[in-house]
Amino acid sequence: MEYMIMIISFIPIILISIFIPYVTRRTDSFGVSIPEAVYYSEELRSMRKRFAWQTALLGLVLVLLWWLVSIPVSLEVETVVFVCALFTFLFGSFVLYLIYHHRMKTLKARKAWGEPRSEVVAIDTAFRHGKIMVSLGWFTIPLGIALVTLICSFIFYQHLPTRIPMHYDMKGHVDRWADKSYRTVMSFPILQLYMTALFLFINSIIGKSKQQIDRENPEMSVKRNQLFRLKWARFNFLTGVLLVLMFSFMQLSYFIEISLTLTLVVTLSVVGLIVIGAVVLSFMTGQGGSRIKVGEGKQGEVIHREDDRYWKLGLFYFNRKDPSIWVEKRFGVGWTINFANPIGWGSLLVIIVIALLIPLLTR
Amino acid sequence: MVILELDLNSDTPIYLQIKEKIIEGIALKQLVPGEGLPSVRALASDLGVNMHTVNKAYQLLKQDGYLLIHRQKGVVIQPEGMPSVDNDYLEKLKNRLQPLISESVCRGMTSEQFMRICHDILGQFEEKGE
Repeated sequence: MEYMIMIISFIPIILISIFIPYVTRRTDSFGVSIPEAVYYSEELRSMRKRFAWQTALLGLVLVLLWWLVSIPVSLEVETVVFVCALFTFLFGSFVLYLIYHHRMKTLKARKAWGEPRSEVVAIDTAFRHGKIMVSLGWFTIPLGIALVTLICSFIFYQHLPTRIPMHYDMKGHVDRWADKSYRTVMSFPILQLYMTALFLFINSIIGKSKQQIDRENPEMSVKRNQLFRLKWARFNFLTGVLLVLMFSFMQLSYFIEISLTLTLVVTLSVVGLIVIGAVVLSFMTGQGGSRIKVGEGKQGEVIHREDDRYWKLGLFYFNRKDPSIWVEKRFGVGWTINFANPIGWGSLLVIIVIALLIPLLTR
Repeated sequence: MVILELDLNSDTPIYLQIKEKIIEGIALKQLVPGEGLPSVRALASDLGVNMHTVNKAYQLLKQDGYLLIHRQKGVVIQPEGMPSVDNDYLEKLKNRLQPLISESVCRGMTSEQFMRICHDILGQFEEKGE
């Protein structure tokens, strides 16, 4: 079983890292902005291919090493080996990215793709009139599930055993217990409420984040980006509902005996479903909807908005002049923050601090 | 719906570009009376420009009678018809045309040539307006 947990977290990370260059916008390559037509050039094709193979090789070597090393050792050591392998991969693929990012920047300068420098921006005034996020009303579903779980837990409080399992080791044995109390009973419902609020927040980010459309095919790119946002907003909502349901199930296991195998099957399939869903959706939509087919458009020959200087290492957006808080990532699928805006990293900080506080307060 | 296109490197200030593009959108009937425009915050974020810049453009458009800024409904194109051609406007129009015409006269442009350009530009709005 422990292999399952590791595989379920490691393999998707490797897969995503291999294919990131194929799911970015066609106007970005390794964190550098390029004319769309260049994306399809032989030179960039082979760059993407080499990056993918090298990342795959790195992943394969580390998985094999982890597998070989973990055969003779105890479970504790094996976990450490796994974590080391994972972090080595993350670090290694980051270094690989930096190398390709640097190469791309040099190539762009040499070919003068950024010249003459243009800073033209196009937006659709009716962009947010279209459906781009999940209506707020839907979030009453996870909210309701959380509240029902909370209320039922209080109603059936006296049926609870005096000791509740709090933590399992990798083999599935309970290695930490807690005495029965209202506080411990409330920990899952509180986590559920937090999750509901978090996914509601992400939904609003998807609606509010900065609009980026292609000036040469405005209608098509608006449609693409709207579909992209709607699909990910729906995925985000379903993820939230699944996780909240999973916590209700775990809460239920306090009250009635549920076999460990069933618990593992449920949690692994929920997590597995979410991870697989994210990978599949990334390939279907591409960043900003770049892989969604909405018709034939012309390929742009120039860079419309040259803003490489605001993208540190091609990964971190830092632009004091831009009031945006949330922007699309350049390398990957999803959103990142404008690091020059304190509201952005402030809200990330609040999310993390609350997540850390919940287990402390309810223990 | 209108695609606002701005050149951030242009000599024309950004607030003026926003103002002119919105008026053009109304003239082309791409923006219809009562249609909502993005909030100041949303438009500033999408364009990547200062909120004061967008606010200035919206305030000027409101003063001239093209926009309504509601507390709840947000920013909408004036639903009760566009401002009319009154004496004030005629005066303003003449003042703005004066230097443009002077320049073309200096360059030896005939009034026929000038009128043809005016006619062509006016023609764009008639085609799209149907």
